[in-house]
Amino acid sequence: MGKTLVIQPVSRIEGHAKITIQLDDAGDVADARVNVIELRGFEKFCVGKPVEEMPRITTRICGVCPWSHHLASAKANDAVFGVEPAPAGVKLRRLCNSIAYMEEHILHFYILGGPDFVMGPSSDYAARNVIGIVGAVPDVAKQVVKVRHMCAKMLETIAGKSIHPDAAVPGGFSKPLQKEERDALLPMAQECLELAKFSIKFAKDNIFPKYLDAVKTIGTMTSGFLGTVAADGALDLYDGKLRMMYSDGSYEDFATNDYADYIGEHVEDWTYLKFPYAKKRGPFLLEDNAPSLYRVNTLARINVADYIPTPLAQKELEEFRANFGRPAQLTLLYHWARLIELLYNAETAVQLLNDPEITSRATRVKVTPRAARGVGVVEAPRGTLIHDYTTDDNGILTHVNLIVATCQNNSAINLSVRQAAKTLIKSGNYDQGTLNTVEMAIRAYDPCLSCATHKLDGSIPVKLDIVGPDGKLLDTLTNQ
Amino acid sequence: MDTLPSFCRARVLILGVGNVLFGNDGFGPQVIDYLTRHYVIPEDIYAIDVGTGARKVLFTVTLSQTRPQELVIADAVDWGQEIGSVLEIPVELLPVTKVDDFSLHQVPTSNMLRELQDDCGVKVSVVVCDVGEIPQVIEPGLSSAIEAAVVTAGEKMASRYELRLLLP
Repeated sequence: MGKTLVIQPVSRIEGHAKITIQLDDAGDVADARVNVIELRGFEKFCVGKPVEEMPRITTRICGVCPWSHHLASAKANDAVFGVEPAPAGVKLRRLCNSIAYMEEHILHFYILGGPDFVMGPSSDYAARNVIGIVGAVPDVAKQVVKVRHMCAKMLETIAGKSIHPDAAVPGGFSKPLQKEERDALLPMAQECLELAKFSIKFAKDNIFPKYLDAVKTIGTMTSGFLGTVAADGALDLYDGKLRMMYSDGSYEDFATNDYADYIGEHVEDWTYLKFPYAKKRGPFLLEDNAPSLYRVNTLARINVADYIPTPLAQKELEEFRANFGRPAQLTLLYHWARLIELLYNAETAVQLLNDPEITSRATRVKVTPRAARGVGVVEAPRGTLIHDYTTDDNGILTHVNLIVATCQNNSAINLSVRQAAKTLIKSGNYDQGTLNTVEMAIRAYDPCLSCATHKLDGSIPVKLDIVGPDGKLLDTLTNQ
Repeated sequence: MDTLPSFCRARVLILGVGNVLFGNDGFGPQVIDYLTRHYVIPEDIYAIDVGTGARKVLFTVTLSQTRPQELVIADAVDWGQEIGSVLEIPVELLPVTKVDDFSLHQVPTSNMLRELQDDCGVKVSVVVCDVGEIPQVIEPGLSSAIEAAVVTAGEKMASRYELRLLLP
């Protein structure tokens, strides 16, 4: 009889998930699935509400990446109201986005994913935590702490608060930046840039070489990639067109409004999380190298961009591509790509703070309710985030659809876990280090599962299926 | 400009944890709302509704060299007790490492609370309200039992920290 291992929950990712690994009679991995055990109903809840409330409401979906939801929602509002937001307002939004990115990427590299590398996947679980990192690399930790404090302080200064932001409004940004505030923020942004430069050098010198074998073997797969690029193909995390790049490097660009023509959503009965797939490349298949399979998040963005419009990050991109090609496929390269993005965001923040228009008083334009559809897309740290709203004449929402980043990596996470488990677990042999290494395949995607789920009818109970070697259901554990 | 976020400099940091979109899960944020609507919060106390973003604040505090002396978490749990009962539990009773069989939101949060107390010298107290099951789909609003529990928890905190009532 096959045996089932359950790793629940996956620690240090946002929200809750469980991995079910099914062993066959020989003790080898027959299958592995990542199940989500939370349930939401956000879109239905929003229908009937004034659209201008969405930038504030959506930050409540999840406290992990509130800025991404806030900005995607503000952009969808701009589209619904049919306005071009004030240029200074756009710059302030971009600045907040870059700072929030830095905060998230630093958190992920040094704290969430970092312990796997700094402490090692086989180290005692109790040591693979925040304090463990501080003890292992105290000087680095000190600087990380300082810069994270600065990021929180910068967001607090620009937007009033960082946890549940409400500064981005339809048509722009509600709070102009004072010149004295800009002067105080600039040295902080420059210090962030120094940490970003240090981080990628530190990783290239001390971490990536040590784990190069792991990079080449853990969670590997071949897929396409989705990300946002500017009109000229440059990396852009706030605005632009969507680019679906296939595994052979060919790609299609499309307007954000047309996302539904290119992205399909498949439903499986064993998880609440949908499986988006590249519609134009055939049916959904949960298989490595399936034509319709794509990934989002850092590696995807680094792959789809023709270039990065800041000099230091562009130099890193060139080195990255010289080593791993385009598109790079190795899953653990998400960590490397994350550091390139960290550098890009730090450079961007400094550039924006040096822009005289950032302190303009004209940060928003007037909006008037109308019946319309508006799509707002931003690149959240975890991948492409889509907010799609439709309103009636009074600006009341009649339809809402959100496609969140982690959802778009659902197939990839499952496939990477399956591959990692098959590589690491043989003849029933496994230990804590093995299981944590399987989890590493998930953490590479930096998933946030708490807002990725949105099953509307709530009819399916949470359950765990135990499947035997012959594919028959042996047992079901349910929460009802 | 001081580069530390304000909450790191507070003597007492009170975090309201939970999602107001999911019924009684909004207990923690509503406690913060109650405190700020009824009491003057002195400068050395920082009370903030962190929603489901407690980790951001806790990471920052854990890694900071300047930390509050006391940290109070207000959150909802489902422990099978009487609905609306408010308990203050020591951090020692929080579940260990990966086992997170109660609803204190993100798993690492409970780990970090232990780290804060054991390794960082912060006195941590957790004020929980047994709210029963949280709705599986979005349904904002507290039940009457939990509204009463918010008042109970808020008054306890106000009394402990000798908060002054706001004038009408």
